[in-house]
Amino acid sequence: MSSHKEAPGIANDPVADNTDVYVFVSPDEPDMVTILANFVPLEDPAGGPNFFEFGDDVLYEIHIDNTGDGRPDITYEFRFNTEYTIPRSFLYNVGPIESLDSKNWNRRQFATVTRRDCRRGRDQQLGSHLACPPCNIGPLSTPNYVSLADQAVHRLHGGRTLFTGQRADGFYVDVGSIFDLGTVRPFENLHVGSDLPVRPGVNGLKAKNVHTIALQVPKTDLTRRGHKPTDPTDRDSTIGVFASASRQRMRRYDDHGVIENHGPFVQVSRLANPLFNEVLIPITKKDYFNSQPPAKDEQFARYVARPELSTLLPSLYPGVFPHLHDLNISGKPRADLLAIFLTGIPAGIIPGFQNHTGEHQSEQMRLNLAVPPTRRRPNNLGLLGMDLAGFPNGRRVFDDVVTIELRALAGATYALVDKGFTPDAAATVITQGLTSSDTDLTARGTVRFLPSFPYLGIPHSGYDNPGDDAPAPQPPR
Amino acid sequence: MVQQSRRIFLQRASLGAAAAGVAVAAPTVLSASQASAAGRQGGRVHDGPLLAYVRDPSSGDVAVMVGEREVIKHDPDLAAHLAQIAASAGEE
Repeated sequence: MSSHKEAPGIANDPVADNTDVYVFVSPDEPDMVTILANFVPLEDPAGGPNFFEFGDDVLYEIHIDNTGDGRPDITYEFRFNTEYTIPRSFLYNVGPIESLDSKNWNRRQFATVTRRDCRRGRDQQLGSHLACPPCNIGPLSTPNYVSLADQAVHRLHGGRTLFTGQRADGFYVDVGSIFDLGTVRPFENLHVGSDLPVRPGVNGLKAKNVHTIALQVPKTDLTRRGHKPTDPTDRDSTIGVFASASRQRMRRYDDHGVIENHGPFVQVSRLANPLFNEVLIPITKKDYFNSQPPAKDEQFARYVARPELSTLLPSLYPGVFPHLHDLNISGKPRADLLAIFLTGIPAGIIPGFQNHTGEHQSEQMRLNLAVPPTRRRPNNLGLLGMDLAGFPNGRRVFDDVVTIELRALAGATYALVDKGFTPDAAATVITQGLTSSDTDLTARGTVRFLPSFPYLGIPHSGYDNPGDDAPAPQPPR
Repeated sequence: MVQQSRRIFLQRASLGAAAAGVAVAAPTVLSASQASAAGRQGGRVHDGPLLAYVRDPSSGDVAVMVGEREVIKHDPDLAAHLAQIAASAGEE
């Protein structure tokens, strides 16, 4: 949920609030790419009586740019519809839900997915009436939840796989501390005016769920030439990805509790890189950012070139970031951040790596499909930890994107574009304090992921409703 | 707005309605007169809810939304008539 409630308007529309996008070469199936687009932030596990779900009136999309112009070349569209089995009941379920067609399950949701070839203007429906699983209510209502969730993994034509439904939120962040005037545990004692003791980070999302659209497709589904990339230096090996949610232009409430929607769909949320809108875009422009297509992102480049948080760090932590301070007052634009977020990293910056899609600036998640997944001891710092398969080369579920971006904003990556710059020592060690090491993939046991699709863990049970610092219970298998 | 005066407003609106359609609160009241006007002109008539939106009456642009579609029509007379309806609604 790296982009949860990140704009004032979308904060009031959770079913359309795109919280995270993950894009990675599937570690267990390296010919495949997995894309996860998450929505509905901060789901408390005990979500009854009307449990969390997708919006039937929202158009969800995952876009692929394989030509580098910031415009979608391929779009996967997702629509949902809800049906009742027992409309006279007030309950979500009247007995145990042991299968997706259980007669005990009253309110159920289904997905329809369409693949659009935007250049040729051709639509192909990949599947319809694909059942979402119920929310993880508890041992009496959803007694075999792992099995239920597995039933909602749908194999589609063309080797594609889809899951749409509730999962445990995999994003980990010390959200309480960071938004308390940029306090970063365990450095809070160095914060200006702070007399707070040093404490470990707290994962504010450890017991939250989220709704995910999880899609796994062959690499050939995504590339411009329909090929399987093998050369990391080939520009056609890199794709840009972003997700969006749209609503119809007008909404009308009648006098009988019925809501009508009219008009074309208008984008109200979009997301690629974690924390981009949340941390870089001014609050008065966040909803505007959400409405804009990435092809027009040149208009936001100035916020990347001179990020506000980078200018604040030396003030918030006096004496800790002197080199960053000097860089800020020099007026030099942050060419490293412009590359990471808006164009991809060109060849020659990081040995053996590039994910450059050209000079057209657009905020997208860029994945070099020819870089193989790291199977042995992946590093949660991604490229900063010299793990070429990690963020910002796409984003894996366990990448510590908050720490990576904190270090980048603090100047750790500027030396890549200016050999005369020496990052502050603090910039290379600053952390949100949620992992025990660079190879910790569970944020000290507060998040769990699966080794295969859909990779995000089983959602937290409403009955268990973990509210303390105890790690989430292991799902039964 | 009581039902009787609402009906009067709608009838007044229907007399000046263009073939492109008018924002309606009670489609069943207008559809007959609207259909007959359009039918006399030999045009098609949409049967069902629609929504018309005028952001700036002086522009003369009327956006009509049906389902997931939107048609923007430059019709100063229609825009002005809708603006009159809006003004009279404020007098109730």
